[in-house]
Amino acid sequence: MKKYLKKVPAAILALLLLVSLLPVTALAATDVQVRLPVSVVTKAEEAEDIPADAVYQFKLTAQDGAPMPEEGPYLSVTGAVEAKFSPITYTHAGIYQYTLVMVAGDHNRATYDKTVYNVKVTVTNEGNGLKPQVAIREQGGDDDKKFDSADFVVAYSPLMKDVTVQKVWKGSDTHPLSVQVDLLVGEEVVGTATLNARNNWTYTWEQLVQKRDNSWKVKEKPVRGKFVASYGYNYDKSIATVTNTYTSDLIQTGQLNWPIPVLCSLGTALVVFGLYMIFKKRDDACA
Amino acid sequence: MPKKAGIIMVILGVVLILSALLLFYYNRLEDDAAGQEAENLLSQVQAVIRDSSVSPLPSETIPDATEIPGETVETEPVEIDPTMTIVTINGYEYIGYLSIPSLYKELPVMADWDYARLNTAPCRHFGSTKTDDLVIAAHNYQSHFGRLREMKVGDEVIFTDMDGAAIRYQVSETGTVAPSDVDAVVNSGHDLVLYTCTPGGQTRVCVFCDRVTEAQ
Repeated sequence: MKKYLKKVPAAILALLLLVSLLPVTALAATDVQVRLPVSVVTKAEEAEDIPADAVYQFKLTAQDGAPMPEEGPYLSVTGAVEAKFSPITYTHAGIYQYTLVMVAGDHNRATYDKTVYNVKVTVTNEGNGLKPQVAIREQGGDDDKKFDSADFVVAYSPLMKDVTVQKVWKGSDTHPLSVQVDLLVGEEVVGTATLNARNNWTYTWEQLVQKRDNSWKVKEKPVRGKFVASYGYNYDKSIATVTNTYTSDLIQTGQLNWPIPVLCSLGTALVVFGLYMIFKKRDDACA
Repeated sequence: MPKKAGIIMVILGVVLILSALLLFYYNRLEDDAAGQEAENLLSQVQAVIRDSSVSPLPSETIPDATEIPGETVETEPVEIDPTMTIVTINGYEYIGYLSIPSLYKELPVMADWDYARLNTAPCRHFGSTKTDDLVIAAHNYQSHFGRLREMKVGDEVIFTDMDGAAIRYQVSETGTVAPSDVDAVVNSGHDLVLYTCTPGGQTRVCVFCDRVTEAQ
């Protein structure tokens, strides 16, 4: 019996030791996970300007060894959506800081948001486990302003199209060997093409004109010789034709009037001078 | 001997003066005849326009603007069709008539020009009302465009096409250009240009007009 009584304190001690360890294992069992939210908003003049299959990527950078998402620091999404990074697991209370940015893509019409978000995850132990609190702020912005998610805007410029200019000569087989034609959008020259026999007097500007913009025009630079340029466009205004027609001088539209004053003046002068000679002779004879 | 020379000079002088008078008289006759001819044609053109039973009108043949040698291209209709309705009267084609109230003139306008036509009426040198680049030339007969230089900025000009559409213009600018300065007239940027020779024929009197919009 004494033998068993001796073992009781040891059992109690072991029990106490076990109980003291319990909160630790219970805490480990309440690790918290956080998924950081992001969203993409796309902007364009028309919906058709936004590519449906565009992929956007975000990058999370941890500071001071903060835990990272399970699937790594990058998140990729397709289209304008709301999404979340894969879970970040926090095992200890503390303050964890990150920066979150959008990775600039390579779409030639897109302007990617360069906003940098500071993300602060505050993990507290409130006795019954860890509790996270996420604060997302814009770097350089108002510290009092918090965001529910890191929102990024991608703006798309309008869809572009190819436009072609072609050259036609009329009225003369003799014409300059090449001409230059400007492409104007509004009043701005956005392209200049040289047309000649080598390119079959045609040229295509690629992706310089907005798809829905029919205000573009071409303007030929002055051409040697008496050619008058006229401009025509096809039905959907994707092809411009510059027709140079040989034109001589402006039409001679005058009557033959100039000899009248000349003849009158000359005739009058002759009459006056003739009369002078006649009467001068008579005066000389009288003298 | 000097007396004989004096007599010869007087005779020669008189001959020159008579020649000048004859030329002046001939020009007046030609002017009057052109004016009369234009007046007759004007009434016919106006009658055609008024007469809805007359079915116009063989449209003018516009060169295929999309054709280039050695290449087959689409022959789509052009966005801005410069085709004007024309009517043939007595073998000549007309695109309408011109009214210039400040000069008290109404003149028919032929679709194409050559010197025979110009002796009769003003002619289209280039362009179309549809593309707002119409250029009309006429002789400087007093009965045609001889008084063009009297026009002032703001004067009204009306072109009535063969469909009966009266297009109102206002003079924006007047001036003279050299005969070789074709581009200044044909690509003036104005909607309508009227021109004729100066009395000496060395330059051209130009009247540049623009459409009068509803707001104006």
